[in-house]
Amino acid sequence: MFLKKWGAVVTLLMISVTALAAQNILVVGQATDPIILDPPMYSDTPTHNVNLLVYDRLYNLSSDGKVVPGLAVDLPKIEENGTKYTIKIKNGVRFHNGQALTIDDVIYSFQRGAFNDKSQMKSIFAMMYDVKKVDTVTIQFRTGFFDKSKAPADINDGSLKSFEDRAKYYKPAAFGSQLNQLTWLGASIVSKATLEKAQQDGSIKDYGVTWAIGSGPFKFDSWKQGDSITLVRNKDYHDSMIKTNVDKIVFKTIRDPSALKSAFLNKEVDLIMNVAPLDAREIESAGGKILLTNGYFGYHYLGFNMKSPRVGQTNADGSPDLDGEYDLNSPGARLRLAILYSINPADIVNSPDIMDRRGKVTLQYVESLPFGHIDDPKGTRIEEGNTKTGYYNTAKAREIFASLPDSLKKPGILKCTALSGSVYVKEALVVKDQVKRVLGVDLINIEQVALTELATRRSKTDPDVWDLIVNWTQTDDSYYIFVAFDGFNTSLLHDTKFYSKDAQTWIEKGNSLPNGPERNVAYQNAQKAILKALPRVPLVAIMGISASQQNISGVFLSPSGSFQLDDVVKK
Amino acid sequence: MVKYILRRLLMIIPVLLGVTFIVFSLTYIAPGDPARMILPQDATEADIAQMRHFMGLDEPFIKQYFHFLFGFKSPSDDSSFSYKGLLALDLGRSYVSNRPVFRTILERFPNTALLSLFALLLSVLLSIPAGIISATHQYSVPDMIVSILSLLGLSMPAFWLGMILIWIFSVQLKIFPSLANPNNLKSLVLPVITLATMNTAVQARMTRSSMLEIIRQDYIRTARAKGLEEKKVIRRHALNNALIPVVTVIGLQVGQLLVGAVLTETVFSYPGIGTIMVDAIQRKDTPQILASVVFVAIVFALVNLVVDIVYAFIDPRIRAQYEGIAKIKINNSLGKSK
Repeated sequence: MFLKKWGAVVTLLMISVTALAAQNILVVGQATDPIILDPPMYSDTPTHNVNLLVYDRLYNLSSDGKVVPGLAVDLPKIEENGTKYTIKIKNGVRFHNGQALTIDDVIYSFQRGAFNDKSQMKSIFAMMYDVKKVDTVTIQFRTGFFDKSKAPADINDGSLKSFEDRAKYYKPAAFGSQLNQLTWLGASIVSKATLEKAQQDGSIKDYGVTWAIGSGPFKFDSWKQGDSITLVRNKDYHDSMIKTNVDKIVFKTIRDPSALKSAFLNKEVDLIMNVAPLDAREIESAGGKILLTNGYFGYHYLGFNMKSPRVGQTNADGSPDLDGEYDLNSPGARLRLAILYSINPADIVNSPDIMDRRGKVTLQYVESLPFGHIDDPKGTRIEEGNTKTGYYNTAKAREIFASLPDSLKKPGILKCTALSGSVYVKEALVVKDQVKRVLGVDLINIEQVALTELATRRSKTDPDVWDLIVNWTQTDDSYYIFVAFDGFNTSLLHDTKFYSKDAQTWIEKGNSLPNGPERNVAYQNAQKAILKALPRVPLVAIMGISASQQNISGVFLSPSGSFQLDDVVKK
Repeated sequence: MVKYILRRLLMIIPVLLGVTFIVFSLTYIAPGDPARMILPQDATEADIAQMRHFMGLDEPFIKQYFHFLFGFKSPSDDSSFSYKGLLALDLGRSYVSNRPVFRTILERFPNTALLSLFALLLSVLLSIPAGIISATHQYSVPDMIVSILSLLGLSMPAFWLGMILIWIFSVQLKIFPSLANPNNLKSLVLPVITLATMNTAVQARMTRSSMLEIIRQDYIRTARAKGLEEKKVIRRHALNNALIPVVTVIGLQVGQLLVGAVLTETVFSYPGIGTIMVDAIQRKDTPQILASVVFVAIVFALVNLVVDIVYAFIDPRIRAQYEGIAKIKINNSLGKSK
């Protein structure tokens, strides 16, 4: 009897140990902790990586950039000139706590994303109104914008705090990329009952540890602040087609880039992101796999402060001239041109210390982000350049510079801001040296600042503080994903950009059209109008670089650079 | 002795007030606006102004400092911007994670304390014998080795040493993990060595010079002259006195260990308060920066208090000095009463 009892205990122990040993654990190294396990409340990449797995959305983006149903049964029925959407959701989907996912949860999630004070993804729902539950599995909503003529004087768009209120004052308008935006993390579906309870008992402040309950392929397990966050496989996941064989995913926070690389080379982590181009070479030679974003991930650019009396556009009294009409013969505009023709971006792309050839020379301004690529360069500045050396033309640069007044030829008159300790500083140094070599004057002084200060400078555009900025903007070759987002949120583009009235007309037209060729033409026309002047110099189009060990497959990078791990397989 | 301890405790208050004022001032004048960091990129100037008001950032500097000490009630419905102040050990919530800042520190401090304790133990275990050997064998080969190693230890920055150790022992030899974790002792070997190196070097040099000074004293010569064995001379007569300044240095170095932990924790991705500080500074998470620095200052002040007390215990001169003062005061008061 004694032996039998202990024999059973030993067997059980052995089974447990074997089961533990057999667990397939994927370790993902990332530079910071996620911020909060609440999808619309924060949008940095580490937060994306975790929340994309815990929560589901009505639609997902496939690896080839197509919108495919997630919680929805099919693509939406879109009617009334692209302004009315009807979506059916799958029956029988359950949250990780066993509760059924209903249309009420969908409406609640949209309402939170649109109107919660701390939501960082309001733009997804910015044109949504009249959101209705048709039946237990069907939701319907309309898109449009605030109609001033319908509203009393004391009511504006920002004061409306529900979709029902919006219905009173909105007029229908198509929002072509609404469907694309429903694939974004901010459109994730959360559990209404769980979050309302967390709100009531105050646990909503615990950043998700007690209420991060989604319906995604992985469940939240634990979070050691500043160290790691662990997800476990949701064995009851509604989509039986996902291919992952991983039981647990540990997102390990490794702040120091060199520590991240060492941990990868020592095989302590399976996947890492934001790999520097030079490190990618070392990782490849050590047998790691390099993963790249599909298309170009973003642009590094040299931006001009349009309020600057030196490189911007100002009135006679020195105040910023923001009427939207370019004065292309002004000294400021000519100094911008002289700088453009002095820069050879190939030096940045080819430098082992900067891009190590994992990027390309680009001719289009970062304003191409909302407007897409121009295929027909006629009538634009693109005609002047090539994809080897950009707009580099020393003779033109010197000729224009010679025509400028002496006040703009003094050494150190241009203050250039770049993020401290980053690759942008190296790029700024290349620009400074090239301008000095071509124009014969060391015009640029570089100032390195912390991230918070950079954000403040960009939004304040104080001409006493900076004239130039070297920075990064996210975009992608499959531009239609981003086109409407930034086209719609034109307020995002107010810092160093400057549109002519002609361009603004085309932007508004593009914003009002559904996704499709007409819309792209409208945006391209806007870009052509913008290209006549020089609000920014594109330096290099970059790719998002990540790395995985050889035994990992099924991982792809979303256009924004976050990992898509639904189908990850670890051998 | 009790009076001495009380007096030292009271002296901590102005020190901490000074520290809080300096730290608060530095954070105040540092560039970057927390309201802009919290709000989405497309927030309007009106949104930013309103957020600054909710956070109390539109108040004058001195008022903000008083809020920091005595608490702040935000006009917003969102209570996460309100706090009770430093005196109630409540500096509010992190702008980034929305967690109470002191809770985060208290959760992570044991990890830093563990790392620092191991580093302190290692440095003491290595440096004192090395210093003694070096002093008792002056100008010999062991003395030269200790001197050269101390010089190297002093001149190597912790982050550089950490990276070199990772490259050799993790990436090349694959003996130790490159990521440190408080639950895995093996993973602590490299960070402990990194953190202990500079302290070991300082303490070894301190022990050596202190020993050299002591062994040249008359009473040591007397001990030798009366035929006492050299080991006993060193252990019984020289070491006790030579260690008094070393204890002071060790006490001061506890603070250095906390500072060094910032770099070491970053290099080894170790979840301690060093990494909290780095994160907070990068994101201008003001409550978290203030709480972390003030916390380290409090720990440092307390450790120094303990060192001073220990110092008084091990150095009879200090004890006698205080007892003497007390006696004089008693005598004076007796004299007055007469």
